[in-house]
Amino acid sequence: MTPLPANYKTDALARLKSAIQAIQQSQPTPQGLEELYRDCEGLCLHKFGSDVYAMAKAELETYTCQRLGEINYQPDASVLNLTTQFWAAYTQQLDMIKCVFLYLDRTYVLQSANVASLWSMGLSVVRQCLVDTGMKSKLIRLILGEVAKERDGKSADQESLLSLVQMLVDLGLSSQFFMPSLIDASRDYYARESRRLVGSLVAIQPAEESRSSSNLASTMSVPQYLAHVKLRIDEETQRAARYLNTNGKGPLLSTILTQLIEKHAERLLTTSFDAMVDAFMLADLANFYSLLSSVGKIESLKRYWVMYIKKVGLRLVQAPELDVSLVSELLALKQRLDDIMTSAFQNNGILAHALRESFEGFVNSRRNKPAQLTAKFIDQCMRSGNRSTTNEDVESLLDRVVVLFRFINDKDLFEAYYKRDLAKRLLYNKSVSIDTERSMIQKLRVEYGPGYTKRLEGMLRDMDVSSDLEGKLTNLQQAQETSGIDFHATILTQAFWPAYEPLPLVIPRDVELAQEQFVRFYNEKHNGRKLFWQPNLGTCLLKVVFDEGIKELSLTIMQGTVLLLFSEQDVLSYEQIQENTGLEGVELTRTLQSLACGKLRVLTKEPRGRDVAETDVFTFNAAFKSSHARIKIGQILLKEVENESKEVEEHIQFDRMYQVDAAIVRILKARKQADHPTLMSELPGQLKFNSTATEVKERIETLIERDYLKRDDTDPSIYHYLA
Amino acid sequence: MATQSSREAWFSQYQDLDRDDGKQLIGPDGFVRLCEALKYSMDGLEPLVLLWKLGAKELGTVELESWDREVRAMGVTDNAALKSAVDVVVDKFKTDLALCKDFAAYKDFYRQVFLYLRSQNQRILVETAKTALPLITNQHWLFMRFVEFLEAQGPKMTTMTRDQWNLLLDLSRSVDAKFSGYSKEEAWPSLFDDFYDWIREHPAPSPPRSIDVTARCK
Repeated sequence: MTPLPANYKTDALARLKSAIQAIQQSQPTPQGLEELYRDCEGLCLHKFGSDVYAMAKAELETYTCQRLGEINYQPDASVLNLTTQFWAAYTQQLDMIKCVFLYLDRTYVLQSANVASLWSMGLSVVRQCLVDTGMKSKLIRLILGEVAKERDGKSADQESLLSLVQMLVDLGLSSQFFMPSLIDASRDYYARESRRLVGSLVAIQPAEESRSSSNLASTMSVPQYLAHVKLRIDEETQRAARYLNTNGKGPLLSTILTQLIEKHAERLLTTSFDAMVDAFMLADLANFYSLLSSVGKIESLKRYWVMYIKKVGLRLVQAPELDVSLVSELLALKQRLDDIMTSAFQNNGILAHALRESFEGFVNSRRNKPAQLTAKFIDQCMRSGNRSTTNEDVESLLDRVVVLFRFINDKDLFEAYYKRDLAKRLLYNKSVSIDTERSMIQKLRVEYGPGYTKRLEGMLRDMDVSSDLEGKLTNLQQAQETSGIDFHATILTQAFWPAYEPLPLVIPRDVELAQEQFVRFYNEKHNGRKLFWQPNLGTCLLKVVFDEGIKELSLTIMQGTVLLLFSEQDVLSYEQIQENTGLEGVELTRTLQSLACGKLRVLTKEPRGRDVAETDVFTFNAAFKSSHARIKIGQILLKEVENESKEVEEHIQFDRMYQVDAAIVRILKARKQADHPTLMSELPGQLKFNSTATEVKERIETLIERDYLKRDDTDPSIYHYLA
Repeated sequence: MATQSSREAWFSQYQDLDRDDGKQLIGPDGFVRLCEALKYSMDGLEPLVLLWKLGAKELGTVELESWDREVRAMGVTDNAALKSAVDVVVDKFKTDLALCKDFAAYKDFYRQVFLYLRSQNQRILVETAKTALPLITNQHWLFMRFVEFLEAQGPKMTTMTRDQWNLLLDLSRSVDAKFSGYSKEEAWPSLFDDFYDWIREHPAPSPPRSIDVTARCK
């Protein structure tokens, strides 16, 4: 190697030094880049790398401290800008300096431990200086001030902020100092804001039009607050995207959400949740849901959801005066709640489950009535004359009713009512369509299994079989001598149909003959079956001669029988009618009332009046007038309905008692012994309906008395099966 | 020296001799005479305890087999000794239901009394119960209140069941004057649920005679 000139090192260093300074002054360097590069290379080759490095570092330090010191003295308003400018210039300069000292970076730096690259060193110089001058804290404070300004709605220099934050990141001051401070400041800011806004929440105004969330709005309603929160979140997300890296965004947003929502969740829910649901504010509820979801407060939402449903539901179910419209109200309620679930609550599983449970809870809070009313509702849908809805509408309505049916625990009661109503519809030909009937039974079958619906299906089958039989009989009648009566019979399989009281009616001889003929015909086909006539279910069509002319009267068999008595005599007393027809008491009274006291009086009564007494006398009303040729005279049915309901319920009650007994014995037989809690927990699985603890205990006691089971000698809460 | 024959001789003093079926037993008349001999009032607790000690299955009837067995078990040979033995038990039974050392015996006696006094297989007349219960429980507060409760039920309740009778004893050992700790969800007969409701509406005017029975019996 050539020996060095004596002052090589000093000269070279001096040249490099002035180069640095020139760069820092934004002046062209005295030497060209090539020369400087060779200077550096030379010094490094001669093992003067450390001197070079030290010199560079010293220069950077001097420069930085001086510049930053100047900036530090400036008023706060300009510090940020000046710092930005400084940083821009500095990094540019450092870049150039790095080029000059490239050789140093690649040799000395790499070969020496604990020596940072020139770039890193340049950065750490700034970092150190910022710390030493206290500017680090100042800068952070000022930056946060700008953020607060933005949050308040004023504008801030976003470019500047971006580069400053970037600077802090590059300097490694971000995660340790800046971010925590930002999060703290954000927490405080939003804690204050939320306290102010939530503290002054007002009720929802009927026409809430202004959705503009002015940050300085003095009072807000809950929906407005939620919209405001959403806006804030959007703002902050944008801000974070603009000048925070992704690591910072998560904790920042969650801190903000905690302050704005989580801390106030209860208050918000208590204040307006119910009102929002009542007013069906889907968009706001959706907002509510997503905000609560993001802070993990769905459990709280669920609680209020449940309370609301129960409150509204119980009010509907518990008020007897609302019974008439209960089912439609319940359907409407369910529809609303379902809509909220889909549109606002994203079909959240927990809330859906809560909905089902609450619904079931209040629907069954009143025993028996929901079952009865649902059956009645379906009955009304199924009746012809229901012109308001098309077939599809009826189908979808029935689908919704079946969903309601799922919630009702008294399913056996429902079946009893349904059966009774179905019977009436079938026998009096009131169904809107047999297909609809079949479809409904099919729906019930899907819900509850074939065992549940087999009787109902049996009823429909009976009607089919009967009309088949009709056809055959008609053919036969044409070939045989008939009694002049157009006679139709429907065969009901006793097991399927509701129980009917037999009626001691003395029917006209002609009818009796027709009946006997039918029975003969039937027995030819089905030997060994016994037929019982139920005249109280039948109808007849009588041609009656009035002064005005011949009219066809559509009557019940009872009415017809009574009226036919008047074909021989014009005047008959109550007693005579009673004697000749075999009718008496309530039945007779009702029948006579329908003929003599209603709107259509084919008989007149002496004395006049609505009520029938045993001393009354009836006369055929030849003067009866009507513009119609065929008239239907209905029975007066009101009281019958009430009593029937009672009967149905009583019957079910008895039935249930035996079922409970059977279930208890079954359980104990299988287990040989069981304690009371075990028995109580197994029972619901065996029964189709709810029973109270008291009812079960009473059944247990009768079973003990009848020696089906006994109590354990030492522990009276354990029962033993007695074979 | 007690022998079979001496026991039989003793027995025969009270035996019912008017029988066609050849059964050897003391009938109601003989039993009354025995009680007189022992100086027991027929209204008191003693005759019931005596019946029970002699292993009787029915009211006022003691069969020879059980007489023999029990008299030997008691180690008594004459009326005086018999009376002493029975008196001891009566005293024990009278000391509240704190008969904890021998609670099993009392329980057996209590349940047996139902079988003596019943009107049907599993039922006893309320009128009978109202007298018997205070007697055999030495007017234990729970049974006294129960009698009040029965009074309040009026004519609609004419009988009570064996189950209810038996479980009253268990009840007396499970609850305090306020029936705290009673739960309708447990296996108690439903009559007791009504009793519970009634107790809540009619709190006792004075503290119960026996306190802390349950503690002493643990």
